[in-house]
Amino acid sequence: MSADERTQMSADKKNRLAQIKKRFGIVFLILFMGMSPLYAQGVSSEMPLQLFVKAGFAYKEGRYEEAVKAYEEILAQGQENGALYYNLGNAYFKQDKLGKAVLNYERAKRLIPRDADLNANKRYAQSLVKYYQKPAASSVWGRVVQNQFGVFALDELAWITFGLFVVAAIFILLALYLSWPKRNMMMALICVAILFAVCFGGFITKMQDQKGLGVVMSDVDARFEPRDEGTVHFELYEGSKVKAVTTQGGWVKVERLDGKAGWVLKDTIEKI
Amino acid sequence: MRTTRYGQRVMKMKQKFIIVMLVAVVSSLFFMGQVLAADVSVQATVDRATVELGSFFQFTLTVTGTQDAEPVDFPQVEGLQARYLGPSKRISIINGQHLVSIGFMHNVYPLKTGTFQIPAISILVDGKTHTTKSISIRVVSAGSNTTLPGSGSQSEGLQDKIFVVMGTPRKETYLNEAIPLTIKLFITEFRMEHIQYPEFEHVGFLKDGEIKHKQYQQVVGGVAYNVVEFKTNIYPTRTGVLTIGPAKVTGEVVFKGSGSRRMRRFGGFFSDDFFEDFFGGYETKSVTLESVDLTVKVLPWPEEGKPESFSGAVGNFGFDVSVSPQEVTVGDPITLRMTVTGEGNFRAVKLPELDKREDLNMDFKFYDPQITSEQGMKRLEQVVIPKNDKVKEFPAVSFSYFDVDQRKYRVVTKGPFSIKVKSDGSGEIKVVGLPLTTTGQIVHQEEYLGKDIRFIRDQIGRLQPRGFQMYKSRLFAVVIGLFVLVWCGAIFAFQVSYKIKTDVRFARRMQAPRFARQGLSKAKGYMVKGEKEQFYDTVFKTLQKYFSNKFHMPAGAVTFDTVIKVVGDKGLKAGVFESLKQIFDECEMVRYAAAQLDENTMRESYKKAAEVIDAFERV
Repeated sequence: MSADERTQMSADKKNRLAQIKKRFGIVFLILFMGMSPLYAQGVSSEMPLQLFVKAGFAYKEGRYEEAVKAYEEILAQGQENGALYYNLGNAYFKQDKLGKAVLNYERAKRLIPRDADLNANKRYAQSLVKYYQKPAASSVWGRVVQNQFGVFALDELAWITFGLFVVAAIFILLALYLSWPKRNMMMALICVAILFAVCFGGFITKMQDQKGLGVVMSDVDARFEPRDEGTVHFELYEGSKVKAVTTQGGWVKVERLDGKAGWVLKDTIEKI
Repeated sequence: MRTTRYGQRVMKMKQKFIIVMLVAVVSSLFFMGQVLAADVSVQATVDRATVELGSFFQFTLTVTGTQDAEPVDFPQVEGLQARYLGPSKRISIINGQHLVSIGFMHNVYPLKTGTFQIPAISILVDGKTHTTKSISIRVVSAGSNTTLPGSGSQSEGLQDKIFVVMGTPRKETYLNEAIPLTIKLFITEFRMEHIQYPEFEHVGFLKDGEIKHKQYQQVVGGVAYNVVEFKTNIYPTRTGVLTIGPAKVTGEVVFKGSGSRRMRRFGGFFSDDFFEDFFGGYETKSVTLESVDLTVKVLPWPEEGKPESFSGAVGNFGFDVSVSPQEVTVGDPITLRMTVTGEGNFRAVKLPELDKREDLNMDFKFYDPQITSEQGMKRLEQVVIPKNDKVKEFPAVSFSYFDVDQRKYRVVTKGPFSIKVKSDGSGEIKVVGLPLTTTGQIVHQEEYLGKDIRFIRDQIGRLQPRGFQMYKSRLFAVVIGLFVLVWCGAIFAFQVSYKIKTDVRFARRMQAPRFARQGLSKAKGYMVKGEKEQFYDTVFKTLQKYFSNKFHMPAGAVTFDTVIKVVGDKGLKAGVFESLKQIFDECEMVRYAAAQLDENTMRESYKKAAEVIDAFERV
């Protein structure tokens, strides 16, 4: 084989490789475009990480509106986490949007309940809410759930409860296979069962407590009836936490943390 | 046995019946006792004070507290003639007390005009003499006693039939003190409908929004009246001699039309009440009745002993204060609740305004209070936020009022309330050091720190799909489901192994197919090698061991007949028994008669043995 032939063959090989690469690139692009939900939704194709960094820079430079936009874009892509809500809450707070800030801190709290920064900011934001009422459980059980289980996210509680269930089940198996004395086995089992019952009860109560909770977005009058002419019962202030009880048309009946209830327009409340 | 149970049931029923009867008897005795224990009283009443000549009035002598009283004759009064109608017995329950009474009714017909005095009547009841009061009756000529008030207020001649009385137990009172006011509408002879709440002049007084009313009967001067009573409170707002009223009550008087009265007067078929009601013999007329006015002297509050905090509360009050929670972090809200309860003028009750106290504003931030009022209670709720962690207590709160019963001022003080305020790490005021002064004294130097939110996060961390909750996911359900399955499997395995250990019959039955498989495998080896005797010996022993394990019998007892006997007909396929018999026969032939069987027969026997065991396993 002459040198020319070898050169020719090498050139052909390169062309083929280039063609393969080109085809692969097109196929990959088509696949990527087809699979990417962002492209399909027409939302910015920027990755969440890029947006998060961009928002961080904007926040540091005091461009809070831009930061909010970037954080909201990550949420619009269907992604969330505690840090994202925390930063978003901060950005809203800096814009003096107390309602939105409290809302995002509350959302973050559900994901990272033990975060010290979050708790400090949330407490501070709530102290600025007019007539803020700290949720105070009336029953002993309510106080237990509030104080002992408040530091756990619902998912964590679910795992803890399941873990206790596994421990109880393994206890039973070990006791059977290793022929443990019945009394010892019962004692151990009762202890685990009580723990399990308490955790399970706490999980259920917490789940029920979180249902329908919302934050008031702007100062609004809560009325006795779901109509504009209804008598004003009390005033709800931006950032107050309320529980949605029922809806009727464009109105929602909300219950304040002290139990007083009234009707407000749906768009004045945002669900946590 | 049954009879005994029946007898016991009858005995129990009898016992229950006796208990119920005893309870009933005791209750009756108690009831009787209550009835008998009631005081006896006697009262004489007439249904009207003025009557027209030609008409009549009703005289009733009522004995209350017993029904064992003899009828009483109407006393002899010149110009009046009475006709006894008969007794009227009554049992009523008032405030849980059973009250019995008997009334002796007379229709009394005047024979001439004038004023007549029905004298007091003495009656002997239960060995005691009771005397009624005398009653005055005015008889006027027919037509002069108007049936209805004319236009204007109360007409002449009707003042004693329908009238309004206003009264108060206090003629002298203090500023802001609650004055109970009673307005009574007395009605007799007529019926009144659509009665409106009374209105009265009250210059210098505040009127209570609530007016309570009730209806009852009252005897005044021997005449029984239906009384509508209105009760309310008024509060003087200035001192001096003030006038209340007159009170005006409006309503519609129902009276009988003249035609029907005529019919009644002359008696006859159509004088029956039913026909009068049916043919509408009644008419109505709107009337406004007026009472006389009242004067009340309103005194100013005494200056002696008047506390500085007194703000005009007059009455008899209780005061309570609560502070909760008592353990908070700097910036957390504390709810302060003040409650005033009792009797008096709650409109004039002003709860202490703590947010105006400078000493408190140093340590606490006050939000606007929410004040609620209910009947006999006024409550204040106020959110208070401690500004720093040096706050150790919430100071005492005082409420002062003028006690109307004791005629002196009272000051009720609650607190101080100890509270624990924790630092939140970014508090407003902190003690940062304990420097010494030149004199060597320790002074607290305070540093003022700013307050703001903490900075944002740099790291995004792990994102998750929005709204995802693990405990609601399929993965979590699958993990739980798998664990439950494995656990149930482990429990089942334990139960099987436990039964194998403790139940020999079960253990042998469970092991039978395993031994059979081992035996057949061994037999197959002999079959391949062509060792007929060992093959049939192994097949026979395998079957023997299988059946002895399967049916829990000694191995030596296993023959075709014993197997048939034990198994019976348990739905085995046709031909299984034939195959079994054939194998047993072939085994015996080879083992005891050294019969020459070829390889095909061996294979056939092996196959049949495997099929027989399989068939028995399927049963």
